[in-house]
Amino acid sequence: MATKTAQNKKRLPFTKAGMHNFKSINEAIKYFSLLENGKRSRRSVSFLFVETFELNVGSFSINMASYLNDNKMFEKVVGNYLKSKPTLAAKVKVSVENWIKENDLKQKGVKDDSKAENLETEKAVDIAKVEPEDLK
Amino acid sequence: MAIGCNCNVGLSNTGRPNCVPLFSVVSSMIAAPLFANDGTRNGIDLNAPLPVWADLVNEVDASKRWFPIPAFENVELPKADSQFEEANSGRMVFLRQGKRSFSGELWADDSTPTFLGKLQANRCVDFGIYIVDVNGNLIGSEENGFLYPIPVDNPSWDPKFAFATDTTAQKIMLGFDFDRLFDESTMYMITPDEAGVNFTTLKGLIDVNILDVVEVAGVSITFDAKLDYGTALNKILFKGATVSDFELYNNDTATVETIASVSENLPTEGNYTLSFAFVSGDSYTLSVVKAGFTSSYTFTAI
Repeated sequence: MATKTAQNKKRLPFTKAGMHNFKSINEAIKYFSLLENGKRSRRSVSFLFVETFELNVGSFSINMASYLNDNKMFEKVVGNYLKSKPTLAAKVKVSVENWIKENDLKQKGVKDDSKAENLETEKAVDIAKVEPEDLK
Repeated sequence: MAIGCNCNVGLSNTGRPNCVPLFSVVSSMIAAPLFANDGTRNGIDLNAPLPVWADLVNEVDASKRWFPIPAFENVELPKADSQFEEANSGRMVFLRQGKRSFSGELWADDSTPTFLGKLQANRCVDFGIYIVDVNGNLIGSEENGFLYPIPVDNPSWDPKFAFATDTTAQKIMLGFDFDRLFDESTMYMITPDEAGVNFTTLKGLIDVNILDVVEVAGVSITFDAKLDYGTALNKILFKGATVSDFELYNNDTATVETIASVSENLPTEGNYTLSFAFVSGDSYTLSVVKAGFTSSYTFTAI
């Protein structure tokens, strides 16, 4: 299994690497708020979780956890913003593709276990379908 | 806590070890509510791993948050005379200890009227303070295995603004009394070595105001983010934020939502578009979670 449930995790570090073990921000908050796991505040967990999956293209800042969880919704809401910015949309497309290649999603998936094995290929295909012209 | 005689013991033993830690000169303080909204008393559990100090300052729940106040100048902590009743014979009977007061001045950048307003608001809250000395020690009241903030008589809290003169700088003068029943023998400190942090380095959060919000149904909101500080015409902008600097909380589902993206709409600095699949009718709270900043803007999605 590529990911584990929070109950099975033992002393995960409060680091970006540790955040890759969680499927969602709420799961990370639940885990790190426990006294035995550091009793971290919600805002500190929220910040670190999103920072882990943050991809910045100039002043445009993407949460790749959102993309990995529901790429259709991501394309809808982000595409709405980028539709009048074709140059930025093209840069975002390339950056997202590169991010997926650089991050070993089989090891660090935030998706369901059952889908983790196909995650890298699946997501690469999804983002490839989004041409800048489509976002206009 | 009452201060009087303990009839179960005689005189107290007066020996002491050769080396005991001593407080140094008071530098600053950290205000904290005495009780959180959930009814728990705010304090440091001395029998558990020490908290992450930065998390206490950055705590989402303001009723549990620490509010560091900058370093003071000209600090004085006078103690009023104890009160006695004196008989005609000249015999005196102890009535009560005198109150302990604090006075100090905030100078330079810490002396703005904006900051004055934030200090004035404290009077409405039952709170206490941890004293921080110049060596970075944290001084509180040790009780039953917890280090609690020293209770302040909050109606006595009196910050005052002083204009600059030919010979003096602009400043805020703060005065207050400690709770008159506070037993000063309960004061203990945590040193920087023990805590892993010099407590003089903790800084309070800066309020960020979310303004001029425009929502595009189901996909995004666009807003300005400005600080309270600045000029009347030009408030200081909250610039350069990224997606990790914001948190979107769904008040209906009690979950933190996964924001899709945040874009600062340059060249308009401090103007952001946050993309997310908002559910019509749901209540959301948008917060700034960047270290050192805070905000809270609640709205219902259209």
